[in-house]
Amino acid sequence: MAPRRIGHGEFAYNLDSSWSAGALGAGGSDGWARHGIAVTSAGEVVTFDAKFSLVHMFSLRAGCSAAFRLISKRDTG
Amino acid sequence: MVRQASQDFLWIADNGSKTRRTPDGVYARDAVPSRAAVAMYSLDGDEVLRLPKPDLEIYTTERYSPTQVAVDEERFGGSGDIWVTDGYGQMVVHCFDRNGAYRFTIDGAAGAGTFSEPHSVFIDRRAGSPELYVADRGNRRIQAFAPE
Repeated sequence: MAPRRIGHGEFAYNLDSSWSAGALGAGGSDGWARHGIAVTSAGEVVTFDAKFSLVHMFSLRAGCSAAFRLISKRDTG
Repeated sequence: MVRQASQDFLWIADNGSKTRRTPDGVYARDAVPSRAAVAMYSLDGDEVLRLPKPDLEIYTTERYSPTQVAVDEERFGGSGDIWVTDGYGQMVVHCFDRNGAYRFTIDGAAGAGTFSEPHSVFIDRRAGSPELYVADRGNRRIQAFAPE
């Protein structure tokens, strides 16, 4: 699907609903899996997949640039 | 995302609910024990700081399930306090100091009323003095507090 324009004026953006979707894997099929999103000072987009305890980092130009699983966490529940 | 000493760090609140959606659309909770946790990571994935589960009586029998974390960042003049919503657990918001030591808990009663599924928290500094916003999801409202 081709990107489409959303928003107005200074806050108008191109929406690409398929951008980097392939990198997200199985969790990407479930919107509830990705509760968190943040942007680094370098402009990379970081997401957290709670279902698989997986962090993805995306650069705007290159797509998914890194991924790591939070394997060091201990059971505090 | 926070920034300290010219370096980015990622705070993650993992609610511990590893639910799976079954083919018939039902969300089934995993049989594995809850792994709820709140921690700060470098962007290389190294854990830098982990917050303890508050040593409260309620957690001896009931679930801890944090959904969001916000930091009153010192680079903006804040205290460094860390705020965590137990949005899927006990419907409260915890405050930790900059070193990760537990300080206190609020339940919303001092504001508009007791929280119901406080899913998210945010610190707004646009007004000059910081304001703590709590997304009081179950009550369909946002409560604002002075974070001190």
